[in-house]
Amino acid sequence: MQKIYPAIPVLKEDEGKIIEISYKPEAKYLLSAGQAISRFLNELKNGRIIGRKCYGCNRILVPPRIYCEICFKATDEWIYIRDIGKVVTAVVSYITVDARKAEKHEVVGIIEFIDAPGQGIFHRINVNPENVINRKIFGVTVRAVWKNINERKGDINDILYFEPIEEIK
Amino acid sequence: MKTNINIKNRVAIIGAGMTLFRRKLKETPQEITFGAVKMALESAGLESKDIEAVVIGSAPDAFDGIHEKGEHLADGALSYLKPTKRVFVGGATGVMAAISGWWHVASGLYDLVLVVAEEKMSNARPHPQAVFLHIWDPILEKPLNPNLIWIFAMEMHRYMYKYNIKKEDIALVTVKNKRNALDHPAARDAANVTVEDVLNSEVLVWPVQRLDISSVTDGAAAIVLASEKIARKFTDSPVWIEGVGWTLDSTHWTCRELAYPLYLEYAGNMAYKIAGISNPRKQLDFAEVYDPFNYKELHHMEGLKLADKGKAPELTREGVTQRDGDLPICPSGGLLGVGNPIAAAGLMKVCELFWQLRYEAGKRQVRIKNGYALAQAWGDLMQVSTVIIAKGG
Amino acid sequence: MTEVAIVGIGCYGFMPNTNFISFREGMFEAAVRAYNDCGIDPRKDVDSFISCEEDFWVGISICNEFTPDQLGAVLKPIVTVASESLIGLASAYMQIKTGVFDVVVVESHSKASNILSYPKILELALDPLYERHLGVHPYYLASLEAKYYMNKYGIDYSYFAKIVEKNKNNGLLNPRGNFASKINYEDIIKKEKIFDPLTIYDIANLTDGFIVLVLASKEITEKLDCKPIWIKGIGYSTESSSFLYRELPEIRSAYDAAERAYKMAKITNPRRQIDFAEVDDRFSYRELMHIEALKICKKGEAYKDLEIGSFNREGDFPVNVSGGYLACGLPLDAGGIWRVYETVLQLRGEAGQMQIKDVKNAAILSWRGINSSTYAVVVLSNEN
Repeated sequence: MQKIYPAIPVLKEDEGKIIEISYKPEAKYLLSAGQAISRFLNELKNGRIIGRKCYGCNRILVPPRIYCEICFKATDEWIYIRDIGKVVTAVVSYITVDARKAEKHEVVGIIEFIDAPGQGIFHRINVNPENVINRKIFGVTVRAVWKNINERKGDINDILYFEPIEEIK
Repeated sequence: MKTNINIKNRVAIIGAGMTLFRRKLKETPQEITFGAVKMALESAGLESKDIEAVVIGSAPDAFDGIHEKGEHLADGALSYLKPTKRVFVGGATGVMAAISGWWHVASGLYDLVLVVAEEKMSNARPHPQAVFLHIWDPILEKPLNPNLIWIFAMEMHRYMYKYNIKKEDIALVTVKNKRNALDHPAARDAANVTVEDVLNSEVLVWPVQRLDISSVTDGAAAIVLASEKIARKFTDSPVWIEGVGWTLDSTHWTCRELAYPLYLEYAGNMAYKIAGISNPRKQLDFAEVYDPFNYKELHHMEGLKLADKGKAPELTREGVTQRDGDLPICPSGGLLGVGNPIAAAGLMKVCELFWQLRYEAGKRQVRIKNGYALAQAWGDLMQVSTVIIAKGG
Repeated sequence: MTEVAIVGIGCYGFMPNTNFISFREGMFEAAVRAYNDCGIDPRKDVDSFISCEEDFWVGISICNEFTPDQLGAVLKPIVTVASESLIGLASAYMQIKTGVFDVVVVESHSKASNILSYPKILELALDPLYERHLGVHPYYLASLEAKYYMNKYGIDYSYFAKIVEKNKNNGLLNPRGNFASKINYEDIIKKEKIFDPLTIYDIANLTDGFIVLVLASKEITEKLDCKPIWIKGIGYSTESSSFLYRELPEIRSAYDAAERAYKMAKITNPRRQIDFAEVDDRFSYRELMHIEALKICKKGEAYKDLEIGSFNREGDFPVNVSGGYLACGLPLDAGGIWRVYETVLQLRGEAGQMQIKDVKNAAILSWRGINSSTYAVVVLSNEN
């Protein structure tokens, strides 16, 4: 038995002929960073990365949180870690947030901190796109490049990007 | 969880329906919902007054541009003075809505439940993809202006790196699914494409190219669930829900091994345990796994233990996952072929289980040996999976 | 068929502004208290979790992404029910009744203090084709409805003022009574109208608040060191969300929700069989309408009982002893399970200065707000 699927698609010739109502939502928020992230952001302003250690599983959590999701208990200690990590994955973007062609390509990826195993950060990576496409950047050690101290505001963009500190072979 | 899973109230799917999936539909969200609901009710031989409860699945309110979307869509779902609720787990919502309908009936509280999933993405301006800017961590990730495709690209690249997988093999999934969809009358993106077409398509975020991804779509799907004592009054071939499973992993996706969806393994295990399936690779007749991107089909096959880690591309290359293969994957055409109206896509897969297991899938029909089939959806920040296992005959 | 009880409750940050913590930290604090209340470890003992969130209240699209870690639900089944929190409670109830899950956690919270454009977000919930273009504050819909109610049953505004007086004074005994006050009904009558006939006192303020409840099957309650409060009946119902398709001031789905809950709980004479109620009072006039929906009084006659003090703390059918939203604040969708929290304290005998003597059964009615027609009713009891 032939099924009949309802709905009327909008075709090219319909554009401009259907009645549409436009509305711009106003949804504004001031999100509380909370205890852990507030400290993290303040330390970014100082050019440092801070995490929280959980004595239950011995992990250092970055970004820090006041709870450990594995042990389900409060974390125990603030610990500074170096801004050095290994590239877990990387990609090259040629499009903007709203799906248009970007003027300049951008390389982003995940960097796993050497001092906090299992904890990664999502950020920009300053590397030749070729080395992303051939995946030679994977596993390479990178370090954060920071904005000048007077330009830092206490947000994630205080780190400009991560950059390889070893040669890419 | 209980070690002996003995569900006293069996639940069957007795009707299914879906609208056309298209880039843009003329109808309002409520009308799109109604279209799918009407078709599902008619297929079950029911009227709206017979339905005792309604479950609505719909993903980000920001697409349709309506806050508390569940309240608004209730009209289209014909829920006049009925218990109505909305579930929302990102992309996994479609199958989650079906699971939610399942617990309504399995609890013994309701005998006939309507489940509908709808998405009208075309409402969002300037482009629906921009809505995805708001799914990231607002403090630590949004300021980097991420496009949704970035996170998929990162996962895809990690998967390719860890198991040394070539784009040529991943492209085979697009070829298969778009071709399967040629036999799906409601499909948006059915086409005959070759591996070359995929590899030559526009690079968006390397390694993701345009033909690697499913498209923004409007659409809705609906199913009707019935308790065992009622099901047989309406149909001779109810499709039983034998197993359900769902799992959500930590918010911190940057701390995950993205090459393997561990949360899907957990969800799959939960569903397999309830269904009593010990060897899915052999016992399932086919699987509708979630394929918003072509590599995702492979990723999910491995998470569901339908292939060993890193080995799903081989199975695809060997033709095992074709409709006439040993283990057809996405015989409907999946999201790549039929379209991706986030929540409705997952429920479309459940509809496919229904039609296939009753031999109503027309040219898409696969061979049914044991009667078991699986539908899976996935969502959030590489985070959640929902699994449903059905048995026909 | 197993029975379901609430075995653990936790509430944290029930105050107008919790800017010192993020919403995730607040959820963690409430969860710790709820799990401690019944002595369970979520990583081992909880089978399923339900959270009740809406994107536009949280400020993040797909907000369920940000739920598992702080509840102990990582790599476990957790689902977001985007409905009023009592419907989340109903979902947990159903999950336990399937026989597959023994312990289910329900969470909901409000961080209203983070929302800068609340009326515009409420407007976003109105019908895009027929209601939004009004461009006025959505609370005007409440003022229209209040007028309908007053005209239809000949009820004077002074009765709404008495509700405000009752609840705000009740709230003085509640540690969560953020907006409680020793206000006098004469002062309320004199106040200027902002959404005629409503004054600013007739409308609940928003508040932050984090609530977590733990539900368990009968077998498990016997193994835990807890005071189980049994869910005897639960029902919820929806009519059309748009004012255009409903007959004001009828709230049919509220009556329907109550009927469903009473049928399950085998309640045929609510006034006799139930000892007290907590009902949505985000607009003062609504408390009267909701009392009627619970069949405590005939439709349009609740004001008569109010007059003779039946709904006071010392009356024969106390309503909103907690102070309700008028005294404590409205925690958005978490309102329903916050009422459950307050009710469980009463039924356990742990309500301190608010304690009503000899209570056994209670009814709770929640509503999803002026943009909706969704109601949920639950009947709780400390006896099995």
